Amino acid sequence: MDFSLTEEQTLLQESVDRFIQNDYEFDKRQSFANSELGFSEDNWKMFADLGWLGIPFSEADGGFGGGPVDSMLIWEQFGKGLVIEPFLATVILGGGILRLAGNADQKAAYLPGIIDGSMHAALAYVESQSRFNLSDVTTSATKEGNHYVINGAKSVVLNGPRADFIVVVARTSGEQRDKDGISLFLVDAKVEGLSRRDYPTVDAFRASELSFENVKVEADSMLGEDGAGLSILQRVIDEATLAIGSEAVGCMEKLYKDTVEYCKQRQQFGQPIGKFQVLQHRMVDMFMEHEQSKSLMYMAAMKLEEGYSEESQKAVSAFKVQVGKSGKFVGQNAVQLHGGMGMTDELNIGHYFKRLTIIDTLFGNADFHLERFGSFA
Amino acid sequence: MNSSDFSASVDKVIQSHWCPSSLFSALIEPLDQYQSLPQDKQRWFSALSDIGWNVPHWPRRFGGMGWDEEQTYEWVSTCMQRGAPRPLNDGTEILAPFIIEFAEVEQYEVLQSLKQLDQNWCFALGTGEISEEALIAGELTLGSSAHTLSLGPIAISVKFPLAGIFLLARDSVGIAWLCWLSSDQMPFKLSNKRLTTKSRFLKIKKPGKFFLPSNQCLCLQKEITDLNFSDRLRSLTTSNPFSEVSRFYFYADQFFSYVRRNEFFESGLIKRIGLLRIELEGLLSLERTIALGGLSKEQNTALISGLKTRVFNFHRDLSASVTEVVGYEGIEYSEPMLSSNERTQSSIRRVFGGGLDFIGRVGTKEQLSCNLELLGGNHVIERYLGLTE
Repeated sequence: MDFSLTEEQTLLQESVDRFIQNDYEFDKRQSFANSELGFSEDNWKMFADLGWLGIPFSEADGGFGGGPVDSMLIWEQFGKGLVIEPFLATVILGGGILRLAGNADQKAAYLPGIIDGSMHAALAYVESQSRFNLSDVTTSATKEGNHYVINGAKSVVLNGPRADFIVVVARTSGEQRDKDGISLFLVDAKVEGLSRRDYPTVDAFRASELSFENVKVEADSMLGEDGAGLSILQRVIDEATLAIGSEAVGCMEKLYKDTVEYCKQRQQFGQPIGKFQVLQHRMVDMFMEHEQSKSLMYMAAMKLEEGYSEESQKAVSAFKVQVGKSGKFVGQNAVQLHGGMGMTDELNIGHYFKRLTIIDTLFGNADFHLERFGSFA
Repeated sequence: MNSSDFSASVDKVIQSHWCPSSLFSALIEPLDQYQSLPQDKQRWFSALSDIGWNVPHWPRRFGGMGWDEEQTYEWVSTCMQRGAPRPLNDGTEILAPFIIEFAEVEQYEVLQSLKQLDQNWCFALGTGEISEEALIAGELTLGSSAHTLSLGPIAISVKFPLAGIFLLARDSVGIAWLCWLSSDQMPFKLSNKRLTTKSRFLKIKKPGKFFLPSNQCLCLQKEITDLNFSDRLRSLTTSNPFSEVSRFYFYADQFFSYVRRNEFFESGLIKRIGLLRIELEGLLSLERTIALGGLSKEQNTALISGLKTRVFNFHRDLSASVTEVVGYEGIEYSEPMLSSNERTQSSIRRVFGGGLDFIGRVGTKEQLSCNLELLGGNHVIERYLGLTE
């Protein structure tokens, strides 16, 4: 298990870091979040120009053939800057399904648009009753001639408002919680019968509730095999879990470092509050929670890089549990140690805390992944 | 060899050659360095010697396989995680690198003895007036073919069976020398009795004065300009000096396997134990980061301190869970792990961390010293973060 980065990976890490330091200050980030779109199209175009949007895709598909380690490097830096551009939804989730399950025509139709930044995607898989169970799908897709008719509803579809196309998880056969019978479809965001309710999320992203009423799609819009979509979905979700976990590690680093700096400056009772031993212990614990999470991040990324297996899934779940616990601890302590200011919107601390809280609930919370980890031998 | 092939070959060697006669011995062995299990351990070390895996990280011309840091860590860590005896010792990791790096050809002879893992070469530290740094063990008076070594009070990090000791001495102009002497050259006797204290050091108050052949002394002047020996040691040795997590991973994993096999534990306990399992994985990852992450010296020191604290906390929490499980009514006592034999049961408790023992020690001198050590660990990180000077 090699900790050293290649030259390309080092360059990638440095370029993302430079972008965050120079072009993504907190005030700018807030202005993007408060805009109508919810992110900056200029930044999105820059991501495309720098090749970041093409990192996970193979060279044959027009990408750069990067893997989980490259993803980890990008996302850790994104976490430090609280980047709100819809990289997760478009590249990792929607793009990930296409990468793994799309045929040549489907890839040719959509991947270039993702890579050059001209198209946005979303993945609609969560339902109001499903919690974290990927196989709990009531949205149905019924074959009618040369079409499928989709009926149902999806919740918390990240980047739903901006997506040009949506990958929809629907059931073509079986009962509600059967693992077989789940299929994946490419659906145009403007298709007839699809209605949307858009809203901002508590961590400054945008999402939608989607309702499908007799939405007709061509039969060749199915991605992969009929009824065999769950394994593809699970893999993409695991890769996305690594991404947001890495983002959380970046958030934690920013939080503990900012907290240390703040405590060195803030004076109370005639001295910097960072001199008080109990606060020092808390900051030490924040540091260690971050370091332990970071170590598990490397482990998970490297296991996934070696291949998608039970071992890598176990590593991802262990990482997610750790991030859930540590993120909560680091976030809460950062807010506490900043005192009243930690609860304001003007300071960045509370925004990192909110993002860490949401990351714990995305793709399975700590309890869910604890159980999943335990289910492996 | 790529990393998966290497891992596979490590697995194969351990499965083929570490065959303890009983699970009991396998459980005890990683923890109790003073309890000898000669047959199992002997077989293991002999097998490693036969296949050339006794010192694989040494250069090839010295009988090793030239493994790098990552391969060495992977090998040592996996052995310990599987309950196999640690395949290296102070002789292979501290004395040998200095000899390989700096000694003359005629001094290589001792390497043959160092290669035998079933024989221990132990480090003797100075404890008395001679050494302010607690490293210099004696004074060396140089002769033409033999030198005179005068030892002050020393403490030996002893492991039996003992092949010899090595130590640092200082000559009349203050230059440090690395000296080694076999057990039959030692002017004092070390008995192979079981130690009843928790100390890992055997103290010799008056070791005496004796002659040492000049080819058993290595002048360190040109390589070490100060006596910051531990840093130099670390830079010359290839294995991670801190592998506490790998050390107890095996018996913690045995406990988790036992819990997994049984379905009658309540969900709250299962969740707590599940969190311990995750914590163990996190600690192991952190150990690996320290070993192979290419960190700066300051960050390494800070992380080792932090990891020690977490290891302590993990032991405490694991002990509590073990006590909870072992004390639970209705456990099937025919399980080999939980024999109704009282001696075995108490040993299993001790192997798992001894929850009751731990609770009994709270407030004792030992517990207080552990707490002080933990505070010291925090202080290292506070310094690293710039919160204190």
